[in-house]
Amino acid sequence: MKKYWEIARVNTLQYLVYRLNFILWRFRNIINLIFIFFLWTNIYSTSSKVFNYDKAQVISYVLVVTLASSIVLSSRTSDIATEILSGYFINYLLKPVSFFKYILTRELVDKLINIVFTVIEISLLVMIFKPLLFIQNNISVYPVFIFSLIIGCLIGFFISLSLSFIAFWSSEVWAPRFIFFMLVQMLAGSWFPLDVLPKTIYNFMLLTPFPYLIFFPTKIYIHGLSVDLIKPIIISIIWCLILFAVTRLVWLKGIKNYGAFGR
Amino acid sequence: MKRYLKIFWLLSSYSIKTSFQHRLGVVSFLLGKIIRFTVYFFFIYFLVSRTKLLAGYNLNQTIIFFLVYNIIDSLTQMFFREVYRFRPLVVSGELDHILLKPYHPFLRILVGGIDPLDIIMLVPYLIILVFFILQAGMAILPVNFFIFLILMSNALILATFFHILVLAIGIFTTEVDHTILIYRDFARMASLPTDIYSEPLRFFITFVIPVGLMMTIPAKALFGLLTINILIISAAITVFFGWFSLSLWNNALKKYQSWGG
Amino acid sequence: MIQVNNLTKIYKTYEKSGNILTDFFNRQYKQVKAVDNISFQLETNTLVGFIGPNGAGKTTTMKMLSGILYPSSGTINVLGYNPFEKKPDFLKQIAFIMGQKNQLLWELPATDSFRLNKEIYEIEDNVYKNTVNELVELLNCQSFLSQPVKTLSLGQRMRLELINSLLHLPKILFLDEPTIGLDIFAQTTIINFIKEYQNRYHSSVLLTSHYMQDVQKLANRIIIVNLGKIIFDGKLMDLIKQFSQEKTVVITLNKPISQDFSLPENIEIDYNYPLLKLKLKKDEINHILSLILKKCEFVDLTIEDESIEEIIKKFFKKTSSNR
Repeated sequence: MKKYWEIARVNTLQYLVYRLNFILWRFRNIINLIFIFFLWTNIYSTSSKVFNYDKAQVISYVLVVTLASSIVLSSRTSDIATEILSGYFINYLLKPVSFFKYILTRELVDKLINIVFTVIEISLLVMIFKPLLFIQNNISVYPVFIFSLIIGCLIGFFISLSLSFIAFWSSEVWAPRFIFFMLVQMLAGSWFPLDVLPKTIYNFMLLTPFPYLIFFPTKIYIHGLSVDLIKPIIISIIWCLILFAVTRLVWLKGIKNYGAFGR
Repeated sequence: MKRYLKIFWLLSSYSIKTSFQHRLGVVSFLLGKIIRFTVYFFFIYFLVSRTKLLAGYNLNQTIIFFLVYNIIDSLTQMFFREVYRFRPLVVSGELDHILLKPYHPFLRILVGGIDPLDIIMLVPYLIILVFFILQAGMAILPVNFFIFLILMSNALILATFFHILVLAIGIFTTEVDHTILIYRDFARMASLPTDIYSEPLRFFITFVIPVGLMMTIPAKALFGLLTINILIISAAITVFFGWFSLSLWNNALKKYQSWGG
Repeated sequence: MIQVNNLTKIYKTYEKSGNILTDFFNRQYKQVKAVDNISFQLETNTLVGFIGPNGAGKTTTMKMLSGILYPSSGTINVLGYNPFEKKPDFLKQIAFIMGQKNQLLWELPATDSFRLNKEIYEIEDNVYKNTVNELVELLNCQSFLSQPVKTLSLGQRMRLELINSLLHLPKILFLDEPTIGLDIFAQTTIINFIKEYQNRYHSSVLLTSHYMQDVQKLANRIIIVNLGKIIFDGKLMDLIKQFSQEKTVVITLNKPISQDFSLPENIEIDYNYPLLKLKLKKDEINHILSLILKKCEFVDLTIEDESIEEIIKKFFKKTSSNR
């Protein structure tokens, strides 16, 4: 257990070594946040309610989505593809450290740093622009919210891990990851609440894993608990299990295929 | 000079040859770009058609703003794709070899890696732009169109200076591996009319980090919304920016320590 | 042709104190003098070997001479130009080859890279054709010219890199560890080629190498650098004469040494039957050899010069003890 604390410590330090890189990375997040914040503020300058969100809800949606993204989408799993391709991956097999425990530790560190700084950035935005916010008062929403976030994290983790494991077979790992990233950017709810889409499209999307990454947890927070949450929650759990099985399969097949090229 | 054109032609054809060797990559990236544009486009269309106005502009106008942004963005990505590959050149020491060649390094590190995918993307952008201009039914005065073209050229010149700035920063510090993406994020802020931002942010985005000047202002020319003052200021800012980025580049060369290898 | 006066280069680096907060907010910078006030001159048609330990400043000096780095102080004049200005006419007359570094276009055959260089250096068609043919023949590369560079071995790539860099027949060649990492055959090929090239085209060559055999074969003048300063500039022969005062005598014995045979105490002996190795000063050879002839039975005897590596080592020891 102690060695994993050490792994966590070392990984945390790595972020701060390249201080300019780190600051600019956070700066980029602020820019993106400002953009979408102003977009929605302007949409609501002429109407007070669009679809079924009022201004305060939509702004809160944007902020909660930002927070959820920092938890769910932040990941170091893309590093794994590089490590497999370069041959560095062998070190994991040779050292007395469980590969999965190692990357999980690394993952948690990454998410933690992201959460801390995202909260700071959101607070800065709120202090400067003082938007009207919607705060969820119903306490019973929060456990469900957190649960759905965890499911979202797992779904994202498994997908990203499987994408990285493509490296076991081919060096063309970035193209599929790019497509996945695009799809997530657009369809996971980072830009707009997915339930503004026409009913049929919306229901179809709920069958895919993407909404459960960001949109669904945020919707739970904004709109609270209701009966029509049950079906999506079940679907999300099913996806989680399916993706776990897929990742595991890919891992087992990949390890056998691994010829340790590179170097 | 004729020699520079020949070298440019050779470098570009090699870049295109090389990129088509990775067929899966080509298809996937093209697909990704198409998905991104389509979703973004329909999102704005869908949204503004509900609310009727965005910062005082109707749906057609908003779409036009958006398309002008995409066209300029695509053109700059097409020309300056090599800037995205700059950091590995510095880190590996290959930059040394480039500096040793008897032509200006910009020929290689700025425009030496043309991206054919962005050329492909330009075609639908232009078609859709023309469509919406016609749909808007506005009469575009020839003089406004002429100003529009001048401002588009100005936008490309400004983009060049932005990319030179990124290169200079890449020499000053190899720490940062995503400088160019910061520029892209700023540019994206101007994908919709910059009127959506409150002051002083709007001023900052238009005149200090002049992405507003690059994207929003040319589109406004089409609508005849510009004054002579804006044109003069645009020229002044471009000149200043040019002086600034080139000075920074020259300074960067002096500070270059050639770590590589 | 090359004139260097009081050349200095100072690098700025920062020290990591290990404390994450000070490293983030309050970095300590330190200055490293990579090149410290050196001066030298080079005429046309010479081959100079630059020797020194890693970090001595050899590569930094060469990079300043070629215009890559900006001198902190001092002047450089190469062929009448200030290298840092990177004037095209200057750059067309020099070439810089770094060992294990690729300039060739990776995904395409070498001929594409050659064509590109032809345009870059504005080489006329017939001159280009002749040069390519000559160089390809000299280096025996005909068979793999049309394969993508990424499919070739390191030795093959290095030969093509040489051709690519010499297409414009530069007047000055900077070679930074050109044979590093190559097998013995490739090394020999390249070193012989450089010698042949220099003979034919009368260019000046500045070579750094850790392989003393390379330097010995090619250079008659060497410049030894350490800690940014030049500590020797002269003929290789002079250095050898000055510092090589010992010879190694290797005797292959037939019978083990008898008990009553003894050598003076101050002589370095390495005895591992059947080989007996002795390090003798030149004036001791006569006396000791006659002793051996009398008392030992042997089948082979060789007298060797000190290796150049040992000479250089001695030289360093002497100069550092002089400080």
